[in-house]
Amino acid sequence: MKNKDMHLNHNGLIVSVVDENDLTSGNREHLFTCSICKGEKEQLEKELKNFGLMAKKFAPLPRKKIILFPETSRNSWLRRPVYAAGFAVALLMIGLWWYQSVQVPQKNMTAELLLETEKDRQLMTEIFALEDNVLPDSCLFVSKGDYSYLDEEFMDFVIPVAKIQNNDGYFLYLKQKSMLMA
Amino acid sequence: MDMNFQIVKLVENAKKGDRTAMERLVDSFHDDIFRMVYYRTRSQMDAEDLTQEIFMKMLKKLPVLKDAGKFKPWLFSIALNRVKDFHRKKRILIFLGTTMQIDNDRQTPAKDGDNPEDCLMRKEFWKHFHRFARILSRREREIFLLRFVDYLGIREIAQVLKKSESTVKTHLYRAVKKFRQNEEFRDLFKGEL
Ligand SMILES: [Zn+2]
Repeated sequence: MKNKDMHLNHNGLIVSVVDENDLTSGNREHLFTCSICKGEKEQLEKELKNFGLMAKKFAPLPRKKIILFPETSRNSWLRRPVYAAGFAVALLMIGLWWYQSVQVPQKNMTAELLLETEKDRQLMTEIFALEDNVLPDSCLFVSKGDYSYLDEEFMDFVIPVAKIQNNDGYFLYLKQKSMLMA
Repeated sequence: MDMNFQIVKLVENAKKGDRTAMERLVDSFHDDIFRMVYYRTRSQMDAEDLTQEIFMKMLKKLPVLKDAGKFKPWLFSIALNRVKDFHRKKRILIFLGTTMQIDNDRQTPAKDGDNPEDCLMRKEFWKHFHRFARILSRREREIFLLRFVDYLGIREIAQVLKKSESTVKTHLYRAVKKFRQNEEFRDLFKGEL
């Protein structure tokens, strides 16, 4: 039996799918005339084609557009790195200046207010202390203690005070006092 | 006008710095390159990012392309190298333990209007696709995909891989043989689509 009268074997069929021109002339001639071999070849080709179609069918589509020329290379001066960096530095300087001229005085004002409140509080404490202890600190040790038992009568006995009616009386009182001290 | 002739004209104009021609070239190949990358990464996000990078590289290297007629295999070789580089880096990162191969990464996002049956079919398809790809050698897989999912001719594949046509055919022959022997996988493609 000549080659052209024989059906293509498994290998021949695959060669015919990969590249028909690689078949021997006998095989090629047979394939041309044999509907069985042609059918088998077409079936294998169809399966391979369906494989490709199914891969395509079950693959997603790209969602992003390809950007060949980003905006950076176009007109916008702000998008050039050098200018952008300069702009950023300028913004930073303005920011710092603003911080110093607005934020810092605000901070100082708050500090001053707090200081004054503290001074006021100290002053009031001193006033209250004066009200409680009219004698200077150095004399406090003499007057320390409870003298509530020394009533007015006893005090009058120790230091007799003339009734001050007028200026003359006042002088009289001073006269008596100077006589006692002499 | 013949499609190939149109592409050659666009490439020649793009080489001269014509931006419109460059953009039209991208439009012509965007989907093909995206899918090509997707089949090899199975991650839409990675495929989108890599596709962007591939076209930027195309733009950069276009002035050194000598033969405008070989634009398509030239573009595919840029794409294939980028994908290989991506996998190489990923393998290193996995080896160093800084990243993990996450199954979610290989999930296919649902398409609008997908019904549950389509969803199931899609999952089944990619599962079998992955399983089949694993029984092929690296070279067989590369060539089989370039031929049957990227629709490149034998000569174009030889140009992409910088191999002889007979080498390409030898690997393709082996891959098709494995395909034909894999009845379970073939069953998916026997009916009409
Ligand atoms: Zn036959």
